[in-house]
Amino acid sequence: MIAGIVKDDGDEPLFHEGDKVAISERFPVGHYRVPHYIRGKSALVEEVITPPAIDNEAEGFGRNVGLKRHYYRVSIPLTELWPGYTGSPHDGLRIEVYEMAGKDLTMHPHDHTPIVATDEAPGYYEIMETAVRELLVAKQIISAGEIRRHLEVLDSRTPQLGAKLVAKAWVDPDFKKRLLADDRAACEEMGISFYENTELTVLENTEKVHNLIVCTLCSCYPREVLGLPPDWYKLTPYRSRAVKEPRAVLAEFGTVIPDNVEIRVSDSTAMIRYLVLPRRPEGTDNMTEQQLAELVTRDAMIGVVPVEFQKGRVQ
Amino acid sequence: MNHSEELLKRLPNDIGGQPGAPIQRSEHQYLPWEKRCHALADILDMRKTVSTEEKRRGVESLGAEMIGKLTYYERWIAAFANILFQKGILTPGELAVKMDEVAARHSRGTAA
Repeated sequence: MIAGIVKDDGDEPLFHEGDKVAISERFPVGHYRVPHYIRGKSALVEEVITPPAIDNEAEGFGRNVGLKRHYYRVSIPLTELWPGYTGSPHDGLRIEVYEMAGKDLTMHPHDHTPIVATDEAPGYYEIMETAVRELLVAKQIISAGEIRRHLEVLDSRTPQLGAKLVAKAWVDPDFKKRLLADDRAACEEMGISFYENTELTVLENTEKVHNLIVCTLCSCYPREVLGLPPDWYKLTPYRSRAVKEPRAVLAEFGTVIPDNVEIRVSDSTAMIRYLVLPRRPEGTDNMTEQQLAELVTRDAMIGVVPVEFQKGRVQ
Repeated sequence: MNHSEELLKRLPNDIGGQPGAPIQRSEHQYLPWEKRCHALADILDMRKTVSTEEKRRGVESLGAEMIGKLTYYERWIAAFANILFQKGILTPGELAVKMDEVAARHSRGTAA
């Protein structure tokens, strides 16, 4: 042996023949070559496969980086894999498992210490969200501050904004003209900024037309003026049926539109977001703009219900 | 048209006009992590690290079963992870180690 030769990372195997290891469960999402049925199981290293070879999981994402690490042929008893296995306890599986770079091992040294979760343990997806966000912050792709600030932006967007637009349009014909002509400019006039790179189109309900908005492909919604959408708007029944049987859908919201009124369904698929300008209810002539705004509901601005006014409720 | 052709022509999220169940007027308060996920999506889109359209494609490519079984923001975060892997911004191993670390903050080890 020549002294002073520094081995490259990956040159030396991390595990050796006879090592007892545990197959990692760390495969959240992505492409993998470690099948589900062996994850978390104890295995015995039978053979270090030389020379080191490429990471076949990174290859799956098109990164032929040439990073080489060892593969190991491991054995796992079938009784370990399948609780209640009734064959011989000598029966076993042989499989090759990759040793991932650095600490992210496909295999890690066997450890009998169980992890006991506390009561408030977050769920799998919440853990994934936190991990993705923290990694992106650590890589300076995003900053924690801009996430916090954007959460405030999201919280500030509620259906009350849309209701203010509607009420103003009802009492101010010039504003209504501006709102229908250049919706975004009219909103910005009211101080409502557009954080999504989208346009807003306000659809006016009239005696002859009742508008209904949907996004069949996903969940496009005028978030700037209504906030985040209700669950039912994003779920399959509404998305699939609104474009085909809008009258039946409306009836399930308790809304019946006469046959001589056109139901106009707008399916948001591109950069346009829609907001329904509902009809002003009868008997509200003496109400202030603020009182009117209080009548306007989120669902009325989606188009699934009319704006209701019961005489005597507001003086 | 046979059924397999239909699978190519109509992706899992393309459901307009398909038969559907009665509308349940379901709502829930957005959970803090769901809002954070939404904020993350908006910031990634603004920076064009992962655009909204890439996110949509990522959700679509989870396939029908995952789209059917995961909730809305569960689909988003899974799609983000996959897209970030595809772009070489994160690696699956890196995320796995970080997830273990995050999970460990909420758990304690006890000797067996």
